Amino acid sequence: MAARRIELMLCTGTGCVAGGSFRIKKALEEEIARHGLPDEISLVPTGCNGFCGQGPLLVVIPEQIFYGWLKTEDIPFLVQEHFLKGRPVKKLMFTPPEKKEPIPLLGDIPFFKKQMLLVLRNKGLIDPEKIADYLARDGYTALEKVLTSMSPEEVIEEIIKSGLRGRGGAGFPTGAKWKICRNEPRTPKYVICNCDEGDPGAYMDRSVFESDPHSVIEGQAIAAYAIGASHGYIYVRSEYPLAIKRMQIALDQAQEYGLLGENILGTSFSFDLEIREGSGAFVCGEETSLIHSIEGKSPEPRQRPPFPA
Amino acid sequence: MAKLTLDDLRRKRAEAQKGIYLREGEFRGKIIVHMGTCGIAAGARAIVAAFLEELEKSGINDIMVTTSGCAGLCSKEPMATVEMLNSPPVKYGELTPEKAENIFKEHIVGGTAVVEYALGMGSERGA
Repeated sequence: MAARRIELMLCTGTGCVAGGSFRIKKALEEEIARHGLPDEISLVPTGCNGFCGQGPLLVVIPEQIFYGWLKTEDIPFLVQEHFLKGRPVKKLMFTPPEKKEPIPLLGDIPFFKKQMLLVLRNKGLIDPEKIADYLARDGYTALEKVLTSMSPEEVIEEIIKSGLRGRGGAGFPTGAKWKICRNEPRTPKYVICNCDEGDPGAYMDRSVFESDPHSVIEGQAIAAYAIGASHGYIYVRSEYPLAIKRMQIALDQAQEYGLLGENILGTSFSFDLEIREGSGAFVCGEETSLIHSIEGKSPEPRQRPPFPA
Repeated sequence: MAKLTLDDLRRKRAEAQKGIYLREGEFRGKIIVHMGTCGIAAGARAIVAAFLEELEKSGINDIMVTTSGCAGLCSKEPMATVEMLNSPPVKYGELTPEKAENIFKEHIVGGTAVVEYALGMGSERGA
C-alpha cells in the first residue's frame, strides 16, 4: 500500500452503525473523492471503539484526534477543514459536559485515559474484515509459536502459569479446563466458543467479534491443539448479525490462508471451525443447553455430572 | 489461493505491517505542509504528493506527513515545516516537488537541513 498521511478509523460497531456510521462512511468517501484525496487518506471501518455514547465517532490517525456525534451534514466541512487544510474542527470534538473547551486527543479523554486494553487491544486499530490488519498487529504469531515449538502439554502448562480464567463470570481457570479435556481418553473432542451472551446489556463478546474476530479463531485453534480436538463450533446468537457476518468473513479468510483446515502451516495439526447460530433462547448460554442446541436438539439443560469441560 | 507455509505467513505479516505503521504512533519527525487557501493555490497539493511519494520510496515508517493552515507568509507559499525530534523546526518556502524531494533526501534521510530553501529555524512563537 502506498504511503498515506491520514487514516480515518471510523467506528462501525453495532452502536455506531445504529447511529448512522455507514451513512457517515459514504459521506466521507464522497467528500474525500471530491477533493481528490483518496491517494492521501484511507478510511478504515473498525469494530466498536467503546465510547458508544459519542457515536457515530471517528478517530483521526496519526494525531489521534477524536470526533463524536457526527452527522452527515458535518462531513463536507470536516473533510475540507481538517483533512485537506489541516485545521482540526473543534466543534466536532468531545467536550466534557461540565467544560467549555473540547479535548482533541483520544488519549486525553477521561473515558480512555486509564484504560489498559488486553482482550480488546486491537479495537479501533484494525479493519475486522481484513486479515492483513490482524496479521500486522502480530496476529497468528501465537498459533505459529504453539504449532512449531510447543507440545500440547507445554501449552497447557503455560496457560496454567498465566492464570488465565474464563470470562463468563465464574472465572474458571482455563488451564485446568484444558487439562481435563486433554486427559479425557474418549474422542472426538470439540472446542466450542460460547458467544450466546444472553444477559441483557452485556456486549463484551459482541465487541470482540465485531472488532477482532481473528483473535477468537486463533485462540480456539490454540485450545484445539492443546486438548487434541480437530473440530470446533462458534455458537453465536442470531441477534448479532454484524458479529456473525464479520466472523464468517474471518473464517473464510483463515480457511483461504490455510490457518484453518488440514495441516495448518505445514504441520500435522488440522482444525475446522464453523458458526452455529442460536435462535434466541436465554438458556442457550448454559453449556449443556448450548451443546444440545448445536446438536439440533431442544436446548434443555441436563443434569451434571458428567460435566463438559 | 494455496495454503500458507510458515514463511508465507511471516512474509504476509511483514507486508501488512508496512500498511498500518501510521496507527502505531511512534514518530521521529513530521513534515507539515501548509495548506491554507494561499498554499493550495500556490501548489501545496503537489508538495504533499511529492513528500508522500518519497516516503513510500524510502520505506521509512517513523515520519508523518501532515497539513496545517496558513503560516502567515502567503507570498512564500507553498511552504512546509520539518520538525525532527530534538531539533528546532525548519520552515521552507517557495517549494516545488523537486525541492521537496531534495528536502526529504537531505533533511529527513540525511539529517541536515537544506539551508538554501530554508526561511527560518525555530518556532515563530519563541521558545
